[in-house]
Amino acid sequence: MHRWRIETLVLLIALVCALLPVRFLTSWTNPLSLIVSVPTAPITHFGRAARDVLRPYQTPWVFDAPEAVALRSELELYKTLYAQASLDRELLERSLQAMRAMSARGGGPVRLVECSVIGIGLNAGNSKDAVLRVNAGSALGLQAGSPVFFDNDSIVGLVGTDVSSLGASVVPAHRLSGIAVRLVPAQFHDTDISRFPGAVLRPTGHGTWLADVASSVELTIGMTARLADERWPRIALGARLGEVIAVEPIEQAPLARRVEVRPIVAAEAIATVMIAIPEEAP
Amino acid sequence: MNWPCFLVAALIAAALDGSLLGVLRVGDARPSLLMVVCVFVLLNAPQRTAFRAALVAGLMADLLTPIMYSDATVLVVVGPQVLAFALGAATFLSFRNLLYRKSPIALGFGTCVFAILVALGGTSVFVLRSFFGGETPWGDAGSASSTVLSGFVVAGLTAILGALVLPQLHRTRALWAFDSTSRLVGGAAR
Repeated sequence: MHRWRIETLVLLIALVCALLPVRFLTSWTNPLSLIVSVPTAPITHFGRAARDVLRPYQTPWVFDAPEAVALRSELELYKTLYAQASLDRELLERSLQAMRAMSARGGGPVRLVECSVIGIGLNAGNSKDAVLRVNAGSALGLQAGSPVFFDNDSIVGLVGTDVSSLGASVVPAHRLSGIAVRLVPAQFHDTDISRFPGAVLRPTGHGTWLADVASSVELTIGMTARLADERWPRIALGARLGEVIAVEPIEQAPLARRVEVRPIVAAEAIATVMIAIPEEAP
Repeated sequence: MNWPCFLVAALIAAALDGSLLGVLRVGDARPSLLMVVCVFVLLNAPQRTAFRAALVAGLMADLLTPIMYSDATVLVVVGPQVLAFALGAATFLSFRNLLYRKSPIALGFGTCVFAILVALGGTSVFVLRSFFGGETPWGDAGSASSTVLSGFVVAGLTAILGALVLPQLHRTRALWAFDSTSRLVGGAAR
């Protein structure tokens, strides 16, 4: 047994060292490790370089690390900015499209103002009859009576008389009476609509119009009512106003028929509109 | 035994453990060439010399595997691996004569047993250390059982490495100058 005395002593010292608190270790164990780590450094260096070439370590992803949290936050921010930019681009493309469509319509120089519907007037009994409030006013040159469009070719209504500097009301077309229109087939896309039967729309009070049409031309459901009223600004002429939803014979006038037309745009459901402001010639 | 030869081999093995052998890693575990060198000495050197060599190898392992703190500071704890290697060496020396040294499977098995005992011994010492409020390699996030399991994976990988490397090391026996003579004891021949 005495032959193993040194080994036993070494093991006892090792056990004591292994159980020593940190304050008794740091002063000498870290420098002691240099005895091994310094001579092995060249081999370790080349070994690590070779390992990184052969099979590189992938840094583990610490989900809650401050850098990771900051990165995620930044990613969310850029996603939002990207979405914002996409919406801006869409808006600009729509405006451009509308401007191209309007410029093709003719009718003198006009300026287009795109604005958002910011509310529905509370002075009406139901939302279908309510006037719309838009976020453009006299500061942008808005004038009462300017036609209001949606989707380039559909009439929403007319700018009302209460135009303030930053806002204005839009009277939906179905509240206006005595609008002269031409009833054209839905698939007709030509500009000459004068050969189609005309009608004068009068509001029914529940969001549609009625009109008596005295013409031998066949009238069908789905026909489009296009504006043909000379009292409206010229740029609005020919624009889509409504869609025929019913055709009935009139007993008192066998040659005439009564058509019911509903607005082509549900004014209470739209978010943005385009207002055409006639510009005076210099 | 040629001690300089052992020290150089152990240093190279320890250096490769921390670097190139990362290529053979499985998860966080990787084989240990230092253990293979230690097993080679335990197989061939006289018992006392082999045990001392194991203590030196354990000390190298302690010095090269510090405890890492989250703020990137390190603490070298001397002792756990010395005791673990001693446990492995003592057990290995008790059955080394039963191993057929020309069989890679037997060599792999012996290496595996040694590595398992090192893993168990090292973790036990750190568990004991934690009872006194000391630091452990697994910290607050890990556990001793996961460290032991990882040690078993290391043992498996080291066994494979041992089965491949030990026959090659056997060819360098001349360099190591193992003392193969036996002391003659007077008395009747048995």
